[in-house]
Amino acid sequence: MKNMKKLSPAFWAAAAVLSVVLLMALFPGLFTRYDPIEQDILSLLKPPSADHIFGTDNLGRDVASRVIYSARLDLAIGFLAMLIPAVTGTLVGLLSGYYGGRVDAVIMRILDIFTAFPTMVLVIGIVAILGSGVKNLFIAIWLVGWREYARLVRSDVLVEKNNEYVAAARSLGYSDLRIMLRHILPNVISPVIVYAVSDIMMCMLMGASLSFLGLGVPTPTPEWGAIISDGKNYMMTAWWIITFPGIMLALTGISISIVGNELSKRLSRRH
Amino acid sequence: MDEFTYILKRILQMIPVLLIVTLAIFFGMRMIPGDPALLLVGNRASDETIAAMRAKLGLDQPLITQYLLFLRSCLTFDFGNSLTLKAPVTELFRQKAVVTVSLTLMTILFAVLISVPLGYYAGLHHDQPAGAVINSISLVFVSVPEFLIGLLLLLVFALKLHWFPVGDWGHTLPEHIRSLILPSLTGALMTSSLVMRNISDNVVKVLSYDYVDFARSKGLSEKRIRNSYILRNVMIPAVTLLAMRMTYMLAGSIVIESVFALPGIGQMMLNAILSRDYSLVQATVYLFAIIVLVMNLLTDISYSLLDPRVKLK
Amino acid sequence: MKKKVLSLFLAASMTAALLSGCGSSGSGSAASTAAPAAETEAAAAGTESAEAASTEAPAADAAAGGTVVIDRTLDSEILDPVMTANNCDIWVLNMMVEGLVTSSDDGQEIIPAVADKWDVSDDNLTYTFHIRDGIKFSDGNPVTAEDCVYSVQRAKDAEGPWLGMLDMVDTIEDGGDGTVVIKLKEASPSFLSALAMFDCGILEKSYCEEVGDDGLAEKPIGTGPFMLQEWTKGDRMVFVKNPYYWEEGKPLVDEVDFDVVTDDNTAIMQLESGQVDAVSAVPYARLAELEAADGITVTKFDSTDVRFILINCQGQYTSDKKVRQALALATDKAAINTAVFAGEAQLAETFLAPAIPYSYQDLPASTVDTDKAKELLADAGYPNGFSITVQVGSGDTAVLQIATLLQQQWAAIGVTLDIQQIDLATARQNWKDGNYDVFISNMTSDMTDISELAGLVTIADQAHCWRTYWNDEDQQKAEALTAAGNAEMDETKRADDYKQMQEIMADAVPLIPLCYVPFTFAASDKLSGYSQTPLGIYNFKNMSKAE
Repeated sequence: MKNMKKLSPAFWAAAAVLSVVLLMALFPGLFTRYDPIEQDILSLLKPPSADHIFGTDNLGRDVASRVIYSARLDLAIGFLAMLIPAVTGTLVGLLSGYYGGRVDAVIMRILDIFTAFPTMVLVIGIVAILGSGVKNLFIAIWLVGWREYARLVRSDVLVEKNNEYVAAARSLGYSDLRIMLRHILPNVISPVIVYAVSDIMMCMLMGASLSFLGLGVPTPTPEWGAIISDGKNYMMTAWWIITFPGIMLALTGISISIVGNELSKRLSRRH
Repeated sequence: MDEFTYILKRILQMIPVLLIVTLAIFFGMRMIPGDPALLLVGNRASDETIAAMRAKLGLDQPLITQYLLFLRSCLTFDFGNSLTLKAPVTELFRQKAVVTVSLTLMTILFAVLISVPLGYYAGLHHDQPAGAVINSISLVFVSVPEFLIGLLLLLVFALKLHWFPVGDWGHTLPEHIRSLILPSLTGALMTSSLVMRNISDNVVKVLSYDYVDFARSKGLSEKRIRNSYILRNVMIPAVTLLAMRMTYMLAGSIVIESVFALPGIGQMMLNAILSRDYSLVQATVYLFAIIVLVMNLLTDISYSLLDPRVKLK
Repeated sequence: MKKKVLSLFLAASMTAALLSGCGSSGSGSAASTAAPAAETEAAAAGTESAEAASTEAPAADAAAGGTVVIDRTLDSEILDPVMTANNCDIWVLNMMVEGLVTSSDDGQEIIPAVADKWDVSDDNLTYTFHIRDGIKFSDGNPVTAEDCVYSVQRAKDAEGPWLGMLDMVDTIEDGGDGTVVIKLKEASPSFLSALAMFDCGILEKSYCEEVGDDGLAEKPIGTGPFMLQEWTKGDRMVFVKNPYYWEEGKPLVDEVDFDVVTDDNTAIMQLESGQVDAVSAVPYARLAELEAADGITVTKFDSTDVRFILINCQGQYTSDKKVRQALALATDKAAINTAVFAGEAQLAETFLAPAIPYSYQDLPASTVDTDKAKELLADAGYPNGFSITVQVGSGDTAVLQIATLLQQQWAAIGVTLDIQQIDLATARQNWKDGNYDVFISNMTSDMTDISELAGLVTIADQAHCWRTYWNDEDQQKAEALTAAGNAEMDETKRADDYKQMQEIMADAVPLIPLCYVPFTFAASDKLSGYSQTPLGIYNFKNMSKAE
């Protein structure tokens, strides 16, 4: 490959940020001496100081330690909640786009049924039937998340399968499975990765923005999205509650994206 | 003619899909715990009062009867009155749909205006700093919650500069349009981040194809190459993404509606679900399903318009 | 800055606004006004001449007119007075519909409304109400005795949330000469209060029959100071001045709009920008900031809103009285007040707010005593504690915060509180079915009498003691005391019955009262003369807006 460049400094910076976040997820105790759920009624809404570098929240909890302890759950949400729908959706989209005709019609009508339900209705239904909690948060996100990937991949495959290399592969007698996975998939994976990176962040935020539907992460487990959404009422008086988790979220997101970008460059192959 | 048969076939295929949707929403809503009668009569009512209210709402009838009634209303489009709001469901839907549809259209318009030129530019210049900067800015916008972007826009452009109202739908058309600018921009930032990255990536991919090199070597003008190869290959995924976001927004964005005090579908739907307003939820989901199916059909038709190699069949 | 706002605010002689919490319960302090008492007459023996609790009229008539826009977070749903139990409906109903009698602004007295006076027979069984001369509905038609009989009878018979509230009533009849005669089955100290409730509002019979129940739910027509002109559900309600209102010159403003703004931050920005004139129910966390802001006045109206924890008295652990007492002893109400209500609430020992007559405020103040609580738990057979669940209606930040605080407080005595966020309708269904351990809730009273809430919590038949399923000797004693109090015509004896009942409640702990919270209202300084009664009802007839 002609433009297989050396890894950029941006990649290394991103990797460094992600390593730190990963360390926070694995060993949060190394980064803070505070318990993220310990309330201190005597120090409510204190601005950042030497004692509490990111200040305290409305229940007197140390924001810094909450931000740090959030890393574990957030990484889990980000990756797990993204991964399964991304894989399922991609495969479904591949099948549908590649075979077309009846297969496509059936798959697309099933997809239509899922799309016809507003996300909110699906989520409330799932949570009401299964109960709340992290596990069901995942299930709900999985059930609603694959739709986008399927549609996205299908539209790419529809275009891609008309390219000469597919015809060439067919004439060589390759099996459909091989053509789909070895030839078409690498060419449609890049938008999936791009979307998935954004999806990771949307999942992290979705947990919080759907908490009023009963899809919240159980209190008091700290989680960036939840901290941000709880801090919303205090954003004018205690800016620090939402600012620091917001920065962490954005930093993590950008780093994942840079790494993901590099990854997708390597994965796409040309024919 | 082929196209006509295709479209007819697709329309016929909608019937079973809609039937499944009505079944799922009807029985799904009833599987969710929570009794609309209890919510209507309030926390202090006795069991007898709750039972009387159930009878009054027609909830004491056999489920199958209730379902058939719902099915009938799906054919006549007369969904009766909302359980909790007592107003005709169709009228409520119409009122809110005006807001949500306008918001969605303006959002998509902004998203296209932002993402297509920027994404195209970033793709052509992906190995230059400008491209990298555009790509990372787009990522920041994905990672900032919508409510925060919305509130900040309100703070600056409404409260401090007075260019726009601090949220509100207004009463006249010019007021509506003025009210929609900030919320549309908020929604467009997220959508255009997604679309921009997608376009830029696909441009990079297409440029690397051998046939582009081949076309160049044949002496085709750079403009011609862009128009015939790049646009064709880039627009289909972009249109898909935009259509996806459009479907998503048509269901009503609770966050944007809430921050900008817009009376749209999202907020109504949320309240209807939380108060177990069966008639309102059922009808809204059904009407929404029709919209989604039509949107998906239009998207598929647009594929073949954008790229003649994609056949409708 | 705060001082300046305060003095401005006092200069406007706002009533019922107690800046230092919501302490006062007497009728005098909260209801004193500089305005002349409205010319009302209460002719009945045993009914004191009602002191009109209106706020002072604005300085000049020049200020009259104008449109006032008020933000609130939720819209009304059903405006049929007999079919709603929703505060968003109830609070605006009295703008449009008035009863024969109504409750005063301080929520302590019954004052004339559609009836300008009434007579009570010596045996307290027959009430004769004299309809105000020349009073008209907002569509211009005169109010007849037939309308009144129809409306009260409808309230009595409706199978809605208020079924049973008028059980003491035997017959309602047209007494001729513009009078309505209501005969009771037995003497009742709470009859007038029940009649003053919004569900007994006087409606126009012919209109009701014409539009039906659903039409009425969308637009009632009554004799109130305002009438509903336009209503876009979920968005906006427009009330305009009732040109036929019986009180001359009232209301002062031409129009009151209620806008629905679900996001508190947006609502407050709208107030700051001058786009709206007031915000109802401002979050407690924002009060200090708004008090300090220029041009904005924050009012905390005395309310009947009490926050408490209901305990399932048939729960696995919580069926034991000692366990319930232990939970109460481990609950730090002061911390909850500080963290959740920004210290604006008043700690509660009884579930009846001071604004409710016969609320007994002399119960000993509870203190946190984890040692004693642990002892009680050990006595009950749980020296190592146990684990229980609380379901929190998702999106209810205050309740979630209370639950989070309780989790830490109760952990100190070994009780693990598992918090489940679930949508409110599901949580309420579980609570109703007795399928819960503890449930954090609140209530506001709808009548100026104790009987509604006392009955709700102590009478098993009514709603299983508000779904605590409390049912033991204590409960039977409390129920008997409530029943006695509800029928007792002698005020001293009545007070004593209710006092004993509240003492039993404090000992048996079917619920843990947390605090009484005020209604908050932030308004532009241009606005004056508004008030909200302890029942939550908006009184805007004396409201005016300066230019």
